Amino acid sequence: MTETFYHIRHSALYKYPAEARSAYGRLTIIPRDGGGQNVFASHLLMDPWPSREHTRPDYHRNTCTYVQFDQPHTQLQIQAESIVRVTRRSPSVDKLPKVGWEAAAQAVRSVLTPEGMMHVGNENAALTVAESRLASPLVPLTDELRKFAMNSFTPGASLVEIVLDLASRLASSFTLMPLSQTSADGMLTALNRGRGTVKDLAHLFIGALRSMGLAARYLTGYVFSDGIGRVHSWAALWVPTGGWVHIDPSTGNLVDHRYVVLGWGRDTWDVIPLRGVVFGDTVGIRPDVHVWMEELSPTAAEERAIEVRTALSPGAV
Amino acid sequence: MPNLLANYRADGPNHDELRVSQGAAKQAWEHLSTAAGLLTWDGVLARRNDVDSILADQGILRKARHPAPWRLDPLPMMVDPVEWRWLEKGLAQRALVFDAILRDVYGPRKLLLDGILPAEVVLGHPGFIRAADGTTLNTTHQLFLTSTQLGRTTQGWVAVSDVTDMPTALGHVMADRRAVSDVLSHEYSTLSVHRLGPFYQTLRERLAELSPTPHDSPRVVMLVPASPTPAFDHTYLADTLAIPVVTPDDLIVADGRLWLRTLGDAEPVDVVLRQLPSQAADPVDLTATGVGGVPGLIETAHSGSVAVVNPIGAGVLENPALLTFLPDVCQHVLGEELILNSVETYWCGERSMGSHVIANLEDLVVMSTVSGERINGWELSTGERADLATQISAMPHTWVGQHPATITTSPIVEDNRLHPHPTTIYTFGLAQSQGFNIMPGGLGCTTDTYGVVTQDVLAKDVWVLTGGAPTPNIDPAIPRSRGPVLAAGSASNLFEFGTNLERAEGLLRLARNHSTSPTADMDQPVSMEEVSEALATLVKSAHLVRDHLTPEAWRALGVLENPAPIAQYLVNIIALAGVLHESITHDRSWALIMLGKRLQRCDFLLTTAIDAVDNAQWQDPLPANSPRVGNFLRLHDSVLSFRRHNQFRAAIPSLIELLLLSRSNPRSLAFNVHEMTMLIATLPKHAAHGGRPEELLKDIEETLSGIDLGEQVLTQGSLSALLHRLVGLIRDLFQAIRTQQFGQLGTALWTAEAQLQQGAS
Repeated sequence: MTETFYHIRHSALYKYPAEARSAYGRLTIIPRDGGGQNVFASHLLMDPWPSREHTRPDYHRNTCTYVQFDQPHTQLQIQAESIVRVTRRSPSVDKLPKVGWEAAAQAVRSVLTPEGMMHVGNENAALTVAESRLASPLVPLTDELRKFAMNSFTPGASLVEIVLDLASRLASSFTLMPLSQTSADGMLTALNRGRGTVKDLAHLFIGALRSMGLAARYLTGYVFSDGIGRVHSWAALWVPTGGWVHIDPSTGNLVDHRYVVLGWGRDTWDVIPLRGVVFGDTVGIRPDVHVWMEELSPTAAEERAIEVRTALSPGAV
Repeated sequence: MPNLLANYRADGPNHDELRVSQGAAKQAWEHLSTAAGLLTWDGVLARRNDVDSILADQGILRKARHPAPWRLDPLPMMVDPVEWRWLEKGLAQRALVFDAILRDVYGPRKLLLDGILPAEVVLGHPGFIRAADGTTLNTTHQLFLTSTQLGRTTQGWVAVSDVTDMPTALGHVMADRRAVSDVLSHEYSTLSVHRLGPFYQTLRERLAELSPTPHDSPRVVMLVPASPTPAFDHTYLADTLAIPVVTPDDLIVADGRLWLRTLGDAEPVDVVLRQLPSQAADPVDLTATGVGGVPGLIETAHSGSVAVVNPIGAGVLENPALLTFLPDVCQHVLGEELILNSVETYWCGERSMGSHVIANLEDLVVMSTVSGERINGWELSTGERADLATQISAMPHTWVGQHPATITTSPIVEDNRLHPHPTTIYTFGLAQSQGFNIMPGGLGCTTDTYGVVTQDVLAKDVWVLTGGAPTPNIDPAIPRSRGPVLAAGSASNLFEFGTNLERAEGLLRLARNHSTSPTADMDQPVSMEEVSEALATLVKSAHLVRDHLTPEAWRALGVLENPAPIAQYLVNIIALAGVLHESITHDRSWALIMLGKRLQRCDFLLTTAIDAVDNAQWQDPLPANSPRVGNFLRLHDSVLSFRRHNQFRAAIPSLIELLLLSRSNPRSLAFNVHEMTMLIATLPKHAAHGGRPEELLKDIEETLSGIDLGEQVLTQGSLSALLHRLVGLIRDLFQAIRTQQFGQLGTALWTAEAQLQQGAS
């Protein structure tokens, strides 16, 4: 089995203009296990060290950590380090089940019937499929979106081909803007303007699939290319008997070993890496967020994993 | 004598509660009509006026500018005992079914997997809060309170809608019962009407039992939205239950549990009675709420260190599409037939029902399960109906169609007659260790023909007859849990009420001076806009401390809301101050009002003194009979004191003595500083910041004792410097009390999600 190892560092530095009395936050910055990747080692480094932290899986079973900072502080450093093994390979399109998109939509609709459940393996997976066809807060299924999707979905066409066609159509027609230019306007504005962030793009893609009755979910994580790691968003489509197929609408391609999943959900609101509230007479917090990624050899990965496991957080010393 | 009730005609096509009543209810109506003076129109109007004046005393009578309009009909609705026993059974069963759904959808989700409930009905409803998944209370039932709107149609009773996220109006029900049973006291004690007291008593006990840690006296709080005008319903219920009302700002998560920020301190909270919508509960786990809510509340409830009821996410049960499936769920989880029918509801997500709805749009009410929007199909044009059909077909699982239920009427008192009006009843259920307890009564509520509550809603008390001997009039004495607690937010409201009261008085005095003596050397004449703004602020802040004010106080405040001469306003303000002094307990809450009042008085005194001293027409020595002296004294209510002691002396040293140094003039700085020192001594010390207000007060006293009127002549410059120093200390004191005693803190959201940057190192 081919495998790729990554060392990922995801850090955020908050500098407050005035002293913060306390803070409370929720972090989703440790990659989740499974689906073609294993987290070998992971560690959260925080300064100051929280007076309380608690990690548990969230509703979508992403790794979620709640942190409480009770002591006054004027700056806060949060850093997640992880060593991840990725065994995911992009499947060859020929090997994916050849099912028409209408049949796929029918399978999604009936996924909770006894026959339908046979396609998915277990009950919770069936619920996830059922949920992934519904609108979500950031992906309303409007007429506009449906019309946009309709252009691609010719009757009788094969599911995977038609979805990849839609993805490459989006990839070639959409101008990507950096995540720092994220706006509250939402995906429909992005659709009309023909430009937006990777989040807008993923939302549009997911929305188009959902409005045709297909099940699609949102993923957030990292992509490693040209020796550089960056935060990225993409989508997964449920293919009857084929499971979740990850597709990147910013390239139009299937997702491979260069991608590391942080978490998934219905849309970006379900997987926000860092979210919290600061108490104090302080406004305008602009964190410095950095992602650093390195590809490792298997031996190097083992050594790094030991380092990461034994690392002490500066705030905890 | 013409019998008003006998002449009452329910002229609609429906049957009417009074006209068709049977058994005990019929007798009760007859009793009411003969004994209660309802035979004559004058008698009825007198009852209505009595009810109105009771509501007015509580500050909740409907009034154009009042924030919480409430209208109550003097005539209660009568419910027959036999009928009630059946309804009670149906409502208790309904609550059990809802509870089973709630436990399932935030747990194993077997109802969805087994196909009893369509997944879309739960997973596609905005009330389904994923972050709350897996949260459980330490009791059998997870649904704590439930409320069902009952209406009667020609086919019998139906459930029109259900309120599960945060059932409200329990405060109003109690207040309505007290008002109506007072006005109709004879009938109330002779007819055998179920008492409501025991339900509230049980509610209080059940809340305490929810405490995750066994406790002799658990701390229970009612969480309400931050609002400039807390709902009467909340404060009245909280009072009845003897629990504090808190806003999100009063609560903080620390050390893995929930704390109530009290005056200068914090204490752990065990149980939260949630009257804040689920969607606004927690800004960390609920993305859409901005910074509102209590950060960490959902995770703290999930960890089990605090019980929140109703559980966050209970609103998922309000999806009208559930009504289609209740009979099946009831059969599945209880093995019983559903007793109480709901309004006939078709869920469009099921193909045949969807086609039925689209084919019969002109006869149906169509509702969105996402937005709650209601559309009466028969009011649409053909074109609009076609558009609606397209909308439904696009997202069928988010729509339901309902057969409109035509609700029966009850007599209500209108301006010139008894009028038949459609009326429904909101009932209340409370979880017991096993099963649900249904309140024998509820909130009667006028509606449109189809059971929809409208803007001009009129409330009615609901008398459930026992069918037996009259019930003894017990109003259970409610023991107080853990001594009363003062949340930081409430403390701040009391303090600000005091400052607003004093600010209004000061402005009125300035305005009066200006109007009687336009030549008075005031730098800034006061405009009427300023005055009415200050009065409006005062009335607004009075609503925030409503439970501390007596009916007399409300009467005085009522005058301030209407146009009146300044002198009239001033008299009422002084009356209010008198009420505060003589009619409320001199406890910690009172101390906070007085602290605000005294501090503001010092500020006003020093500010006006600075205006006078820094004036270009400064004159020293100033003759005591100068009109400027008179004006200044009137401004500070010290004319008499001055005349008695200082008539023939030079004015400035006398004024300094009377208004800065006197320990007996209630208007002087020294007097107020001394009073404030005593008031602050009654407040708890803040662990981290204690002592700052005391230090400032000491500073002021020292500054005052340094003034020597004998030897040293105060120049305009040195007097001005002295006053500026004093006013600075007073402002610091304001700041110290606001930030340190009340711990007012800003909050801000980490915005990392918008800031993810690409980066390489």
